[in-house]
This record gives sequence, C-alpha cells and structure tokens, in this order.
Amino acid sequence: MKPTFSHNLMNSFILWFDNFLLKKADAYKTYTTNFYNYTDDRLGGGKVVYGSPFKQWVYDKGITGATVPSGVYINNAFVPTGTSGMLFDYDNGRVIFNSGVSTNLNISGTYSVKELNTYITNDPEDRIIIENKYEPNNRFTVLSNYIPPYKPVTPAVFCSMEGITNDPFAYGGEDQTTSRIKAVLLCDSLYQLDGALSVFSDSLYTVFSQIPMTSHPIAEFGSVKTGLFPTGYSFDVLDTSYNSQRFFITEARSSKIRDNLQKELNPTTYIGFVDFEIKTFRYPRI
Amino acid sequence: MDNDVLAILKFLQSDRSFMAEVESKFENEFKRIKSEMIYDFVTHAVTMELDGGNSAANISGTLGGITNLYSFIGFNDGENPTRAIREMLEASTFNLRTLSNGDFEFTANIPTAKDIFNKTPMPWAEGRSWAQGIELGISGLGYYLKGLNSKSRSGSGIQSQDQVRQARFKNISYISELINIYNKKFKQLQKISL
Repeated sequence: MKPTFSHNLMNSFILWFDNFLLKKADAYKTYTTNFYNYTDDRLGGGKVVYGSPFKQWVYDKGITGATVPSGVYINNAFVPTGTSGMLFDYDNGRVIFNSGVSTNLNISGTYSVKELNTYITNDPEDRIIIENKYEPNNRFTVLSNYIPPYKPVTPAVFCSMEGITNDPFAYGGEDQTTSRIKAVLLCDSLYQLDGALSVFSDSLYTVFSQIPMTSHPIAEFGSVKTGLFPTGYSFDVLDTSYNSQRFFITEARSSKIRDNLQKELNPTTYIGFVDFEIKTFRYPRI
Repeated sequence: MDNDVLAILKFLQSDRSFMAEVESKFENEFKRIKSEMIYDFVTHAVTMELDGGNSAANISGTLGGITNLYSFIGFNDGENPTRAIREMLEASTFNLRTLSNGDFEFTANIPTAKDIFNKTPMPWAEGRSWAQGIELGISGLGYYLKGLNSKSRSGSGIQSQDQVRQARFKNISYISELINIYNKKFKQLQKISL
C-alpha cells in the first residue's frame, strides 16, 4: 500500500512533536559514555554493534546546543561515520559497523539524548499505562552497559491517531479534514511532566507541514538518510521545503491523572495526556 | 423599504405595549425550544444511563453491555455528572434588539459544545472531558482506576485487565449534535411571524 494521508500526517506530526519539545524545552541531555559490544541477530550481514546506555539520540541539527555526533573515539582516536561502514542508529542509541570489525574495541562518544522518547503506537492508553511495563532509559542509573535495542523505554511519549473526519468546506470537493491525535506521557518526575504538558498546551494554533513518508529522515539501520540529507537533518529546513500543505493545531488539551490515583497506579511514573485536534484543507476525492 | 412602512415599524418599536407583546412572543417560543432542548438532553440514552449511576444498564450501547458508562468512566458513587450540563442548558437566555430598519434581532445565548466540555472533567483527569469522550472515544483507564481506587479503600472492586479489555467503548453523538440542532432551531426564531 502506498502512503496515505494518515501515514503522512503521523509522520509529519511525530517529527514536529520531537522538534517542538526539543526546541521549546531544551528537552535533551548530552553525555559522553563508553559503548559496549553486543550481537543483534536482526541486523544480519555480520554487522558489528556497539551500544550506548541511552536510546533515542537527538539527530536534528536544528536544535541549538544539542550534540549530533559525527563520529566516535575508537581507542582514543576520533573516527568519523562512514569508516568501516560505521553509522549511527539514533533510535537504538548505538553504532553499527560492517562485518569484520573487532568486537573488542574501546569506543566512546558524545551525543545528546531526548529527555522524552517518542513512539507511534496503536495501543489504547489503558494498555500503554496498565499493561506495558517499560524499562527506563538508563538516565539515572550506572552507565556501564548498553541499553537493549527495539523495546520502548521511558520517559516517553506514545502518540496514536484516534480518528479522522472530513467535512465539506468549499465548492469543487475541498474538505476540512480534522484529525485527532492522543499523546500519553510517561515521565519520571512531576517537573518533567508539567514541563512537557506546558510546552504542548502552548502549541495551540501552531502550524507544520505535511512531510511525506518518503522524506522521513531515518533509514533502514536507524541512521539519517544521507542521500536526502547530505548535510544532516533539520526539521525546520524540511518543514519549510514542504510548506504547500500545512496542518493547523486547533486544540491542544493537556491533562494528568489525579494525584491520588497516580500513586495507586504507579508511584514512580507520572502520567499525563495531550489531546490534539489538527485541521487541514484538502481534496480527498481527487 | 417604503418610508411609510419604516415609519410605522419605528413607531411600533417605540410603543411599550407592542414591544411587551413582541418580547412575550419571543420569550414563549424561546422557552418552548429551550424545554425541548433540555428534554432531549435528559432523555438521551447517555444521560439516562449516567443518571442511573453504578447499577444502570448500558442502554446507550456504548459498551456492549459489559458494564455501564458511570463505572466505565470512573465516577465516584454519589457523583451526578450530568447535572453541570443540565444547569448550563437551563441557564440559556436570549437577547432581543430592535434594528434601525424596523426589524428585530433575536439571539439565543446557549452554551457551546466547547463550554460544556470545559465543565465536564473526567473524574480521573481534569483536563479531559467525559462528554467529549462520549463523542470521540474513551479508554478503559477510568474503569481500571476506579477499581484500583475502590480496592485501595475497601479491599475489593479492582477491574481485571481482561474486564477492561472486554469493555471497549463505541463512541456516539451526544452534546455537539444536541447543540447544533438547537442552535439551528433558535436561529429559526429570527423568522418568527409577529
């Protein structure tokens, strides 16, 4: 199936969401850590993996102050990406080499990590909150091991598309398309939760562009697509280049679970919600 | 408009007994429609189900009979969630203004759907509206939390994850539709024949 409107909306939304939080709240932390070798059968081709203790690094070069790595130190010598096929898997927080690279290297590097990881989900919020027990991103623990790949970690935001409705808007088949996206925030402190809710409450009447799935910045192994973004990915640049179709946030309602219930549910995780209503005008039947 | 007709209309507008008659006619019509609006609200399946409290049957059909809305949303015993909406509807008023062309301008001041959503917080998350949730969908979180809360207070009542999963919510039209219908009806009053 080719990408449809809802695919493009979710793609655009999640890129906007990440950028908005990183930019408005400086919601990232920069670390210099060691990387640890492990095997990942999913990758195939004998790829050699060294993982960091954190997932979801910042790869948006438009975020002032954030460190988007261009290489790592191997045995204290700086090695840029591309050497021995080296690339960064930003989502899983690791470097990947071609086969044949030693598994006993002493690797370290500096990178920025999102304070709140972002995920697109189809799970209803009760499943996210009640059933899924997420591992924490290794933020406040000992940084002496890698974080396993793929599984979501907290603090995190889980975004899901709740529904889309089309209403006639103008002659010629133009409709007003209203989409609803829910974000469930699982934070590790009240400060973090209140900050994120405040940022997104203030996103009311913000606009962002419809960025097609084909322009999603992340490639197969979690690295930035160098063909599309030869000088690095910046949401602001991408947003400007696709500004012919815009999304308009007409509602951004934040809330959090009442304190007494919160403690019953999970005393260490602070849970909040942002319900977005997003409008655009389009010709769905053409 | 003929100047003579305009002069007559303006004369009538300055006549107190005529104006009292006009206002009375508008007021009667307004009250009739307002009563219909409140009646439609209180007899809506969602309102009736919520008014039935914890033991009500799922007459709205929103939960496939697994539980009822009052428990699913997670209201505490004794809460009357629909009262705030009814009070807002009952507080509806109207304005009647005379225009320089001899016409009358009638405006009904009824709450918007958004006003109502702002006054109907979820029992477990204040920034969310249960009334809006009826239209857009509600997760089973309130149902689970209610169980969790009652367990912590009384030692029983927790909803299992299976129960929560079974009780999937099917959204239906509620407040937005009611307000849209009655906004149109009140606008028709502009065309009232004197």
